[in-house]
Amino acid sequence: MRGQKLNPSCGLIGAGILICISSFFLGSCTKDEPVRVGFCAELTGKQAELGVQERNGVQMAVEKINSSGGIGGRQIELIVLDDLGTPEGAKASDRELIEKGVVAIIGHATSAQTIAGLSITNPAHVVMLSPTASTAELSGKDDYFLRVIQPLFERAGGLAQHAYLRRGVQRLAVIYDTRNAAYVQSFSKTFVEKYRSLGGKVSGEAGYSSAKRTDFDPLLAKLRASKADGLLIIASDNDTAIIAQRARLIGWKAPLFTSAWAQTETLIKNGGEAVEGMDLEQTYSLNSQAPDFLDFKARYQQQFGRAPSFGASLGYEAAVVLAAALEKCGGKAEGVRQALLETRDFKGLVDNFSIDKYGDVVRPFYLGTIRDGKYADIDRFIPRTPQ
Amino acid sequence: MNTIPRHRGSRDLSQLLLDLILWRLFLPLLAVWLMAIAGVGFFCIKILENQQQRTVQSMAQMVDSHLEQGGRILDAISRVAEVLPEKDIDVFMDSTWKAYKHFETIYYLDRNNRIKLLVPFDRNYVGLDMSRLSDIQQGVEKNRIVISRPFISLRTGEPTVYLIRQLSPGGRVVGELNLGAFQDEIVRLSGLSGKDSVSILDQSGTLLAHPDVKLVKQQTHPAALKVLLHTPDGATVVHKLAETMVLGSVAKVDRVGWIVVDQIPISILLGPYALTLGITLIVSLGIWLALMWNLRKKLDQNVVAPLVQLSQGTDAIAVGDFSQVDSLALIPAAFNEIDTLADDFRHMSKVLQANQAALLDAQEELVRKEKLAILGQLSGSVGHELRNPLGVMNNAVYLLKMVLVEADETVKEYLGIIEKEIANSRRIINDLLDFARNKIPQTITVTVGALIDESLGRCAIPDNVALQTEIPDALPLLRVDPLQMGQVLTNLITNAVQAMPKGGSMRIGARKEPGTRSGERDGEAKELASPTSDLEPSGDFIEISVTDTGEGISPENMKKLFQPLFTTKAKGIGLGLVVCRNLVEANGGRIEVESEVGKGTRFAVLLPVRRGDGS
Repeated sequence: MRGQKLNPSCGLIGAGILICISSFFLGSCTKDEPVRVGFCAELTGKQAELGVQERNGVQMAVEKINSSGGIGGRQIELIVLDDLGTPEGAKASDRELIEKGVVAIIGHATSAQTIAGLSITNPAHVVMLSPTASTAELSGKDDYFLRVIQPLFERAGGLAQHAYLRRGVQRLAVIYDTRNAAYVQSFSKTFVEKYRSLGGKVSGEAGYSSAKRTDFDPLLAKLRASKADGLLIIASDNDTAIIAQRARLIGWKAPLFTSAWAQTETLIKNGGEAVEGMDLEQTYSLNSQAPDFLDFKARYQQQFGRAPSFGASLGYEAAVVLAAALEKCGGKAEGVRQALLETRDFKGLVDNFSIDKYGDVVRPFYLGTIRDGKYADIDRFIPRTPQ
Repeated sequence: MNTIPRHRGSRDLSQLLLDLILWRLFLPLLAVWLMAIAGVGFFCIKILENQQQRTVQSMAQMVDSHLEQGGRILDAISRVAEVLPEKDIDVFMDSTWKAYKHFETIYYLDRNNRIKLLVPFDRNYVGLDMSRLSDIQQGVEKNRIVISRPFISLRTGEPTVYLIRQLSPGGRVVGELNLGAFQDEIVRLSGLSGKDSVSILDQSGTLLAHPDVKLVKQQTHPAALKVLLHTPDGATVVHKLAETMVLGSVAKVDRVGWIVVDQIPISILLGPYALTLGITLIVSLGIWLALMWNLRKKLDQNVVAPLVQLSQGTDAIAVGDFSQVDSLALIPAAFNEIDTLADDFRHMSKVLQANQAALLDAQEELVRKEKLAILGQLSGSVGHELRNPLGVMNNAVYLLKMVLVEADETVKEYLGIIEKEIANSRRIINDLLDFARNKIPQTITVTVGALIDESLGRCAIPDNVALQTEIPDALPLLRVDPLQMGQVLTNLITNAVQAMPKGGSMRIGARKEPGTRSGERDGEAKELASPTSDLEPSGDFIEISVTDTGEGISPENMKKLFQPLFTTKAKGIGLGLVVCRNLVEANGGRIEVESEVGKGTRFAVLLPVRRGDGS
């Protein structure tokens, strides 16, 4: 009989059924492994605003890069962790990100957490690229820390010069949040040194912790009593807004100064009339008319329902410059640091920037003020040439 | 196994059956099966969609009523605040806040939007300027509650909204409404099934509630969920969420433009169906292969093999080989039809075999008869031509004997030899002529004794043969041709004598034999009798027998005894017994022979007794 010869139609149907079954069970075909990038900042808590803005900026950049093909065809997988605004949280998060195999970490938002996190990332030789940690403590170090924000050394000095020379503030009181000590100390030290070198006098200092509930009126009354004719607030946006309002409420009309840390929409919204005329050093020119920045602002507003702060812009730039470096080194962790250090005249949203051999950014910074509920530039400082 | 040669355009039986099963049974059944699974899957998805819709709608309703109740409380406070003196407003706000516990904080703003009063009291906030909060600026329309965009409260870390109402004398009442209550409900809902993920998103896609509370506190904007912001209320869509496809149902909270989303991964839905489908296909394939294998085996065994054997049997029969017919009985047929076919085939083969044997016999007979006919014609004309010269020669010998009475003994002896040989020749010629032409018997009534005596008279019985005759007196008369019967008896007596060259005894007997001695021969006798007699046969016979004690006849020769031209004698031509039989049969009788080799032979002539002849 023809027992050995399989009926052709039987064979065809059999093969078809087998293919169906195998396609059911084998699942989809394998894809390229994504390039894992970590993000870590304070996302919950009283000072989460900066971290959330940075994360949103990074997220926008990653979505844009992924939609235009990723890193050499590989998608970026962004792993977001919350450092809870504590050094312990920062260390734990960085450890977790390294365990998850990230090629680099974007973060942290604040200097204290950055310094804590570096104790984990530097030994692991993992690049930490901070959008906004600007403490002078981290400047000039040949390590795995890099940043896209101007170190506050020059900025703090610029603001001191402005306060003393332009605004004519001879005696200045300082109030600061001790919770972000690394930043605050670095900023105030630089500021005060410059201010004193110019001939100014710091009439009084008051520290508070945003971790606790603080009644600002007594602190402000004390500072006012020191006969200060100007007040420097080194605090987060919301705290700066409340301190400004409290100062005005107790009838203290002295000029107010603050650092870039508070430069968000929250400061203006919560500050009300009290923050009008407040001068600040800005890492970012938020009223820039550069087309890229306008486009970014519009997209951010559309996507997140509010305006981007400097944190969002710097987060976005950090992600973009990191992606460019990853593109150069083929998405591997090994060459990222070197690729980033070779960044020269990179096109940012407003200004071009470079990264020097210590991983510090070289870019212009701005002195600004709040006028009619908006940030306005009053001066632009040209950067040093990268070494 | 041998195969049946393939005809153009026709297929093997097994292939035909397998094709039929595949296309008419297996595939339609499989299709129905798949359609049933797809149908069930479809309805299950529909049910799930409905369930999802109910979940999101009820959640949306809960959100809406939470906001609405906040609005009502704020409205009540506002109405009272519009008429009460300021110091009493504080007390009223405090008691309302404590009574409802609906708001985190209730603010009373003055005309410049500075905080005048707030419950619970917080020194730091009294007097703060809230005018820059964009949503506060919106709340200009009187008697209307404006709901701000959600934000994470610095105090509670939970999503919060401001409910703002403008007061008619100026100023505003603002309620800070915590949305954390939704979170508990979402966690409860998601925990119910363990598979669903219910979330609430604000108008810009920020999470307000999600099973993972961390994501809410981190003000996450899940890009995958934002696509749902623009889907219509009540819609169910399939979209991608972190590399997996999910089925998402959406309900809108119209008051604020938020959405409630319920998502379930398609894989959870389709997993069991894919598994069922896969198992179904594998089992079907298995069943089909087993069926195919089994069917083919059974077909080969029970249908194809018998058919191949039948085909081979037919081929063998076609070339005249009937030996395979019996092997067909061994065909293992499990079907009645095949059994019947095999039986029919066997029967047909046997009939064919018998018919062919009969045909061969008939052909042989025909050839023999034809030969005899030619022989008859030839011997008739030869005999006729020889009889006259023999007659002349006989007369001449007779004359010479008369003339040469005085001749010496030698001459007389030679004349005797000539006469004897002429008589022999005449007898042979007579035999030839008798064989060649059927003379119609000229019957007369004779006695048996007369017939026998006359025949004995014509024969010379040698001395070494003892003759015995047993002829009863009271035998009926016979009505036969005496010449023909005489010739028969003479022939039989001559044969008996010749069978005993060394001598012996010959017995000639006659007796009456009652009729129907042999049933099968009876009819034949009657049939033969009718044309030759005008009287009805009585059924009785006279048997005249000639018995010798000679060598006997062998069984082989016995068969050919009455065949023309068969003889064992040196001088015979083998027509004597044929003529005898013909003559006896022409007279309505028959001849029977019994013989035993070495003991002798008995020839019996049975002649019918005519009714009315009496005895």
